[in-house]
Amino acid sequence: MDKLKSYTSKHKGEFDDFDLDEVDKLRLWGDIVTELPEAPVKVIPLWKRTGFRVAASIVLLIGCTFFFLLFGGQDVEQQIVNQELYDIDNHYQLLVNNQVELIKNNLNLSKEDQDDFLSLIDDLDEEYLKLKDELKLGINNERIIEAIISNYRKKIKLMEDLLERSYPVKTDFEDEAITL
Amino acid sequence: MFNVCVRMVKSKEDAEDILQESFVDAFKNLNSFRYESTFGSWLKRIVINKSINHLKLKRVPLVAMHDYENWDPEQEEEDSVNEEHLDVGAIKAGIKQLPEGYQTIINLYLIEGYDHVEIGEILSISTSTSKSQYHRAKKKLIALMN
Repeated sequence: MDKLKSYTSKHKGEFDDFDLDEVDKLRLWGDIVTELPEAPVKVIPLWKRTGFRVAASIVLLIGCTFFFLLFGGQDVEQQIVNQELYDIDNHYQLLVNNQVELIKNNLNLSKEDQDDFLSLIDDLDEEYLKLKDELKLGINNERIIEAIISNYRKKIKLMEDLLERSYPVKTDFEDEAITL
Repeated sequence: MFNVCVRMVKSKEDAEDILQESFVDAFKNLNSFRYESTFGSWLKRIVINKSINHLKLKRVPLVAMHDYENWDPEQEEEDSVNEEHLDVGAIKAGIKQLPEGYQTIINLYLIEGYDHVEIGEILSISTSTSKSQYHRAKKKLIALMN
């Protein structure tokens, strides 16, 4: 019987004289971790599953449908031009409508004069529609928009002139006091 | 594990390096762990093997060269030590005074708890050489303690 072996087995823990302090432990673990290769990122190949393929196809289809419905296949430049034209239209159309109302309600203009004048305006409207069609071709849009603005201004100027001429010319100055 | 390593290589700095290498090797080769023992004893064996390699590199003798194969099991004497008179401090002091060739085998057998077959594998010696070396080391240790 090895009494020495038996004794050391019983007192095994007392032979541990050395201890690493917390700082050394952390440093040692840090060194160990830096030497270990990073665990590979587990990739779940969803695209291999039939269900996922079907779902992805449906999402893609819905996305494409919405895109073409919303934008109608137009490119970005065309959208900008349309927005610009829309703003211009709104602004001038408001002015033109206002003038047309004034002409229609003007008591100094006969119905016949009003119709003649508005038919003239219709000619300008036709020209306006042609310009709008040309815009769709996308060639020199800047000049076409300028022409549209000019068209609107022309209409407004004509209507202003007509309204101005329709007012009776004042001939009676007797009531006005003349001060020298 | 740190204590195991320091007992083997007798240097805290070397022990830290060996411990780091051992942990890294163990984690990198986890797939070679066969669950035939606990993870702790597997890791301890890696630490011991690394320490032995370190001692070999430093050309520290792992076994005493004299009387290498001359031990006769029949000649094994009954322990002349009385367990009641043993003392941990005295044993530790005695181990430190042992020749280097004896210290390794005493540590492996007495403190780390390996048997002679395992020590034979660790030190690349036969089981009987391990027994022979241990008994000579023990005799020397007892003499030093007395």
